[in-house]
Amino acid sequence: MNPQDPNVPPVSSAPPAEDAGTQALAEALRSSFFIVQIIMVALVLVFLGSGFFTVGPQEKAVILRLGKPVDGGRLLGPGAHWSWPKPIDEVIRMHITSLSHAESSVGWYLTPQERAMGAPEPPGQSKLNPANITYALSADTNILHVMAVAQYTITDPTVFHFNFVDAPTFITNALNNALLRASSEFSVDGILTSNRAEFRERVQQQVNELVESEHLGVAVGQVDVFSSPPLNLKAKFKEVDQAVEKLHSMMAQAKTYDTTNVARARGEADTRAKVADAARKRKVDMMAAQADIFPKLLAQYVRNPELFKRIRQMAILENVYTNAQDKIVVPPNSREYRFQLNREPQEPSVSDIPTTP
Amino acid sequence: MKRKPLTLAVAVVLLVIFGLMLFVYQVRLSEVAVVTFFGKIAQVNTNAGPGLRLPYPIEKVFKLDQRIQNFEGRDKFEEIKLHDQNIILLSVYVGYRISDPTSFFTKFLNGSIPVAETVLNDLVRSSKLEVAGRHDFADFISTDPQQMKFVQIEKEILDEVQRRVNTNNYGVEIKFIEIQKIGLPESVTQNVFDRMTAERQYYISQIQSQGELESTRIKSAADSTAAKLLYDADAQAFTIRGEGEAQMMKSLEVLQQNPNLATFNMQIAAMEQFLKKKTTLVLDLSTSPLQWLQMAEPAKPDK
Repeated sequence: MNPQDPNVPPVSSAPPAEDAGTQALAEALRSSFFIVQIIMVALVLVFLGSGFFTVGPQEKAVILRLGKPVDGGRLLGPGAHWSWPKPIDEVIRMHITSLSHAESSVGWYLTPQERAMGAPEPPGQSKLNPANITYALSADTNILHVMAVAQYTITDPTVFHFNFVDAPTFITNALNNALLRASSEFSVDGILTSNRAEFRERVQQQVNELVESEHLGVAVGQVDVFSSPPLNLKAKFKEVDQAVEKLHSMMAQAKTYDTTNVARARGEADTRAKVADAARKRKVDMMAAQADIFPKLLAQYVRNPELFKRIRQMAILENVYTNAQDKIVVPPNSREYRFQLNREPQEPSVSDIPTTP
Repeated sequence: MKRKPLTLAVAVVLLVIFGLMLFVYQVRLSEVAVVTFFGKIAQVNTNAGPGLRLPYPIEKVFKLDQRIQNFEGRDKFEEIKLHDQNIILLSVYVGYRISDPTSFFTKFLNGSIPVAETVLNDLVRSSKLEVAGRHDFADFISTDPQQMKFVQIEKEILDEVQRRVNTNNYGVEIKFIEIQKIGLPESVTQNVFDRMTAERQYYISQIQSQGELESTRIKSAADSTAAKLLYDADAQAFTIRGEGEAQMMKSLEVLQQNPNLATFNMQIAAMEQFLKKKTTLVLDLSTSPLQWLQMAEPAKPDK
């Protein structure tokens, strides 16, 4: 081992160049692995943190763990909640607005979309292609347009969301079917005028029956029903309405006539009876009075009949002259004298009531 | 060496996740899973929750929706000739659910809903034509509730569709079939409108004549009632007067002592009564006692 030997490499105290590189690489790997670990921990935290979710005020939620409802499908109310993130847990949110509404999609001359956009009423047509404009048929085989709007609340969100692919569409279809069924049971005039309330109740009843029979998990509230004659016959139906209005007016006038005239006649009849009774009483009393004083008068009369008559006559004349409203003394030698009679108009009596022509 | 357990744990977690992805599948509530082994159905899992499987492509998992699905007949408004030769247009909507996942999966291209609904639509269409063709128009629309068979027809269509579904073993339960639209051929609607117009015109004239008739009847009845009331009142007055006469006769015996005096008394009493109110007396100076006024006249000058 001669150090001068050129075949022997020189001995150095510094580490070999390979070791330094390896060490640098190892150090770099260690640093990278540390960063990866931090990232992994961060990812785990993010993963777990993503399990937080909130349920809104008009929502309920169900957690499915690996597809199976947690706690037997317990409904989570509004607020903050946590579940395992996907794909372990899945949060199913269900909107439970206080009141939802569904509209019928057939039977009206505008589609629900056109109604929502406020489209104007289309012009009336002399014939209808039901593929373009739908309608209903009444029991008396008349054509009319009907529409229903139902308010409903979801009473069982689990059933509503997990038993039906599209429960709102089912409610719409139930409204359509109820409208058609009810229309086929009422006449067109019943639906449009005389039996509106009954028709609405029938639609409501049908919708309730359909919804309950399928256990939809909703409670149907108010159902509003609208109806219209065919657009090209609207004016004709209006004429009928006007004729009915006129009929009612004529009836009211006739009833007023009836009430007034009968009441007046009743009053007049009562007056006549009372007048007759008063006259009877007066005559009877007068006769009785005369009978009372007759013996005394007879005694005076027998003594001098002529004088008695003159005195009695003058006594009566005095009363007559005194009570007379007007006293007219015709001047002597007057050839013509005019005066007005009946200065006060007479009150009308029942006999003056006009009779119907 | 201290970091080895952590590394190991991470590796295990990754392995578990990878294993779960390969060997586990989920069945959601309202779903059913059909697992095939090289294309052949190996298992049908109807329970919500996790299930085990061999990795793809050895086993494949197909999930079917078991909720009630509804679709509207795609034939839209089809004219149907009824038993009484009338023509009606009917459209129905159908609610169904998968009752036998194995059959459904086999019959409808790995459980394809669109394919199933296409097939069901044909069944519904032919059943609708057959059932409706057995009924008269009045069974759909009638003023007689007893004759209406709306619900019965819907049930007959449902039964017919269900029968055919069962015969073909489609694995479907028809939940409901309900008529959604009903109509008349376009040409018929014009006739209906003409009839409705004539009916309206008839109603208008009927209402007008009814109003006049009823109004006249009420007024006539009122006149009649008023007249009867007055006739009755007159009769009553006549009776009252008669009663008065009868009562007056009681005093007659006294007056019969001297008929002349009695007559005189009654005459002047009647005169006094007659002239009691609102009397205008037209008198000349010769009337008693006015003749005395003449005597008070100034004496005329002698000629």
